[in-house]
Amino acid sequence: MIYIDDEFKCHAANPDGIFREFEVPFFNGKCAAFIEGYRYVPPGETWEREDGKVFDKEMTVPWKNLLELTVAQNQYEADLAEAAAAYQEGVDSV
Amino acid sequence: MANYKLVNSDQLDSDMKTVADKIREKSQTSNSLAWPSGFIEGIDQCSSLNFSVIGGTTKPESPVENTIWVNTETEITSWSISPEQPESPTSGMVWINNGTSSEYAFNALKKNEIKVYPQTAKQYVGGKWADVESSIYQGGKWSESKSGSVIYDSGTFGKSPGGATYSAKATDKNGGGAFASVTNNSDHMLWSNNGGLGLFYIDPKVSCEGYKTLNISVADANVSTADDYPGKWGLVSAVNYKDPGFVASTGFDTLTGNQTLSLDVSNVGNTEYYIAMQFSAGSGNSLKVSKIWLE
Repeated sequence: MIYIDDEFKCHAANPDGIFREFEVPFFNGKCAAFIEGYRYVPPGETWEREDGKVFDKEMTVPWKNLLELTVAQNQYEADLAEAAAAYQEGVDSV
Repeated sequence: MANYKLVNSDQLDSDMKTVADKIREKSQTSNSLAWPSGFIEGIDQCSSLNFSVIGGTTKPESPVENTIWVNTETEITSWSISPEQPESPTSGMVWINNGTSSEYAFNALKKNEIKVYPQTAKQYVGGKWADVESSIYQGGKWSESKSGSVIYDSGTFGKSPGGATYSAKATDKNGGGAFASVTNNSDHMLWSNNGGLGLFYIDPKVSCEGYKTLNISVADANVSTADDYPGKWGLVSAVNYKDPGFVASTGFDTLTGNQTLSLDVSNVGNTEYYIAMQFSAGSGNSLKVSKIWLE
């Protein structure tokens, strides 16, 4: 589940309840830093970029530098794997 | 016997300078004007346009704002600025591709407005169009047109900045071709799928660094997708028909008729990705691709 604001920027949480909620499979398994670097335009809605270009179809694109988002996601997955390995090691030692 | 007239040479010089200054202002040049050929040429160039198109093998020494220089040895006999390639070109014609966005956008007129978004340039030589290098002079400096921005156009694949010619391929559960297939025709590609989920992609990968929008124009589209696999167009990290890993995409449930799909790639950066479209099988799911380009 992700949340989008009035600029279609994504959020991992909706603490004030002011964002709109969407189920977008692309973001499943993604960390908050990755999610919050993306923009999601739902089907049937329109986003106008600052240079005037209009996009009128469903769109999922980074609004932060994609390489930085990829690094953050890779680190998140590495941390998860490390935690899982440590847990398994603990289980195996019992 | 020739007739002679006594004139005030200082006044004549002053008057001619006044006329020359006005011609330079109207023709947007700072060059000196030789009498009479330079005056005649300058008058010919006077116009209400706020730009000029100049050909040659070296850049103009004293360009004015919005001078478009085309690097060519072939005389430019005419020019066209349009989003579509001219249908009836004449030898020497230069076509400047007019996009929908550009960091070099300018007003073509001195009064009122016609906005121009210049992209790349081609010249019609020897019966065919050829890419030509071009630059535009704005804000006191020259800016080069980007190479590699046209991936495919009406039957012709472009070249990557590295010199490789792009090609289109398809992959599906049987490796591509049996179900999802690409057919190259003289003025378009046919992408069709009749056996399952398919991925159509451009090889080699591209970098979107310096570009803001990725576009594909399709015609006679007849694509309807399954709920589990809605159609997608964008950038992928892997050539995997089922899970290509779109990093930026625009989605669709159906594609019909003629339309252009655009994707914001302004923050994708310099990592290279495959340009790809994914859609599932259906009764005659297919579309014609006429152009793929970055701007």
